[in-house]
Order: sequence, then structure tokens, then C-alpha cells
Amino acid sequence: MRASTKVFLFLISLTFLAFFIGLTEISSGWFVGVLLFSTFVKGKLIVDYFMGMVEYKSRWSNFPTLWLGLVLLVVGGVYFFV
Amino acid sequence: MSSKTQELQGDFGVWLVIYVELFTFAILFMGYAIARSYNVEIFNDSQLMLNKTAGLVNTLLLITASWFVMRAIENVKDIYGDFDIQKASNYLLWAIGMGFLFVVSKLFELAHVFGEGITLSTNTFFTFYILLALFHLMHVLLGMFILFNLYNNTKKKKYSRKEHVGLESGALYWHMVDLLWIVLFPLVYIMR
Repeated sequence: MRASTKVFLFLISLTFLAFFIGLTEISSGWFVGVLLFSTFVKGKLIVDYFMGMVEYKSRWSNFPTLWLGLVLLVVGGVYFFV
Repeated sequence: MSSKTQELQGDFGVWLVIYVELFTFAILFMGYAIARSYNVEIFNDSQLMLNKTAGLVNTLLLITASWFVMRAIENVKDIYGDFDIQKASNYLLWAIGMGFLFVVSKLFELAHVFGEGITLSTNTFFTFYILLALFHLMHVLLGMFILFNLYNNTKKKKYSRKEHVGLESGALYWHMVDLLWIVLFPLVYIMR
């Protein structure tokens, strides 16, 4: 199976995981943690495999991952500590 | 595939656009989280009014569209030794189709929300929800326009194994649209 297809199927699986967590409609720090982590993994897969960053080592290639990490860290920080 | 290079795929202009867009959406996403911290109950109650299934369907459509675009790139770059511009063209058409379904689904979802009498000024949650939904929708529409141009170019066989920067640049924009939705979906529809 091609790498892009494996990534696609994994993205679909993580999307269903998020959806089923959402169906519980529970406010839970644990769920928020799982969602933030799964969102980071999904975003990282898109950046690395769909946007092709896994093939490059320019300093600019780290920017989308840094963006993703920073946004999710701030969101997580606000959810957990504010 | 194994040796890394210094050069990013796509041209510099598209990366500039992508970085500006990511920065803009980062402000909106972080603004949403901060605004929520001041109105947790309103955000949690309002979030229950959203259709999570529509959010799921929209996510699946965008991920599938990105996968089709990726397959088109693989065919043109001849990554697996199966260069086929006609196949790439078909994949791009499927991606446009997924984008079209996303637009239809999103318009139904927004029509339902507006039909409930909800507007930008209903509360802070819906201000963010409507702004994010419409702003992202505009990006999907632009992405579809770009994909349509890529489709036309593949039909005219303008790309080859060695010359496909335009195709890569357009594909990058589409993947950015997908990346933004990947963050938007759990943030607005799921997290509480």
C-alpha cells in the first residue's frame, strides 16, 4: 500500500475518533488532551506527507509544524489553565 | 525519496501566501480559545447546536480531496514509476468533486444555523463560528478554482516528470486548506 494511502486511512481513523469523542458531549480535560494530540498527529501527517515536508530539510520546512504546535499549545493552555 | 533536499516543493509565492494564511488563522483559533475561557457555558451550550455529523462529513470530504490531489502529484512526479497525466487529471477532478460536496454541505449547515435565527451578533461563539466557517469556505472556493486550473493544465499536458512546479504549488494551497480544517473541526465542533 502506498504511503499516501496509509496516511489517508490513518487520518480517517483519527477523524472518527474525534467524532466519537464529540458524541459523548462530555467536558473532560482528558478528552481535550486526546483531541489536541490527535489533531497534532493529523496536522503533522498532512504537513509531512501531503505537503511533502518529509522530503525537505530547509529551515522553512519546520514552519507549518511549529505553527501547528504553537496553535495547539496555546489552545490547550487556555483550556487547561485559564 | 530517502535523500532530503534544501528546496521546498512549489514556488516561493505560494509559500508566502500559505504562511500569511496560517498566521491569520492562528490568531482566529487562539482568539476563539481565549474568548471561550471568558464564556465557557455559552460556548459549550452553543456548540451543542452545531451538527457534528456535518462536521465529520466535511472533514472526510476534505481529507479525501487531499488524498486525490496527492495521488495526482504521485502520478505526475512518477514517484512509483507510473507516470500517467490522464490519471492525474482524473484524480484532480475527483478532488474538485469532493470540494464541491464540501461547499454544498457547508452551505446547508450555514442555512440551517441562519434559519434558527442565529446571526453574527447572537453570541461570541457564533461570531467566531460564522466568521471561521465563511472565511474557511472562501479558501475552499479559491482552492477549487486553483484545482480546476491544475485540471485544465493536466488535460493540456502542461506538466511532466521534470516540470510540475505549478501543480505542486496549487496542491500545496489545497493541503493548507485541509490543514486549517483539521484544526477547526475539533476546536469548534468537539472540544468542550
